[in-house]
Amino acid sequence: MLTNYFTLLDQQPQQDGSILFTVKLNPDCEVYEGHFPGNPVCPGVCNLQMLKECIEHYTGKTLIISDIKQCRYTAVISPLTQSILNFKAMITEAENGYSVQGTVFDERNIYIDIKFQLTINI
Amino acid sequence: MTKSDALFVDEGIKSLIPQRSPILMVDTLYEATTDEATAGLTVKEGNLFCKDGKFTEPGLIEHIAQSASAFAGYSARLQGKPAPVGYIGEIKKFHLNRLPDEGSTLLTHIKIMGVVGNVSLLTAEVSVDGDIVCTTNLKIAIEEK
Repeated sequence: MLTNYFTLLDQQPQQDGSILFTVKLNPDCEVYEGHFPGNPVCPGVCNLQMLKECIEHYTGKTLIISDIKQCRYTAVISPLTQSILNFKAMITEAENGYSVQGTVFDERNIYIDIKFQLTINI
Repeated sequence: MTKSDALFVDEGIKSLIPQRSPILMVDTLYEATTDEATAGLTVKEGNLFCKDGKFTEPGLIEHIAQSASAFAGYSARLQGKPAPVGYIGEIKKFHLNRLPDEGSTLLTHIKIMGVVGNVSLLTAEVSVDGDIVCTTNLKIAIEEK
């Protein structure tokens, strides 16, 4: 698994009960050698993994994505032009894990809109 | 399904899709019709998406997306066009039954449910040794070159 895809810079509880994560993408991550050669674009699934790891960091649990109700990728992300991203997540406890609804954005755009279920990996 | 009867295997897959190592997540296109295809991947040791001996959720979804991309590349080739670039536009109704073990051979069935403009809506089922490990719907945005 990639360990140098991003750095979690901050996680702040918000007044509405959600958590605001701030992440920094690493343009030197080896995944960009293949996605795509000479044209680094964030693989949508690597961003999905990044969101999962943010939730794991916050909850202190090892999680598995058991269901994705919907995950919309509304704009392309490149680590060269979108270095810092925000992930605002409403995390609620559910059976055997968490139900999460969130968006990924910066000051210019919304990139990902997601509702998914994470199960605690025992 | 055997590799010897497949349409494209290993290095040949690279002529159908733009992804390269370390995120090349499909190694076989077994068969394809106009709206259905079967593709596969043997998860090698050290695969980018393996953790603790398991092939993880993002790896499964990337494998499905690249299977669809290989299918689109194959269809383009039949029309004498270059392989297009495909992006995941939406993941919907993904359900995981279990994570496959490292070393598993995934067999993935793709069915195109509809095409609107440059977006294909497809449904996919990944199995290992006859057991379904996950199912999902995907929207793939195809960017023709």
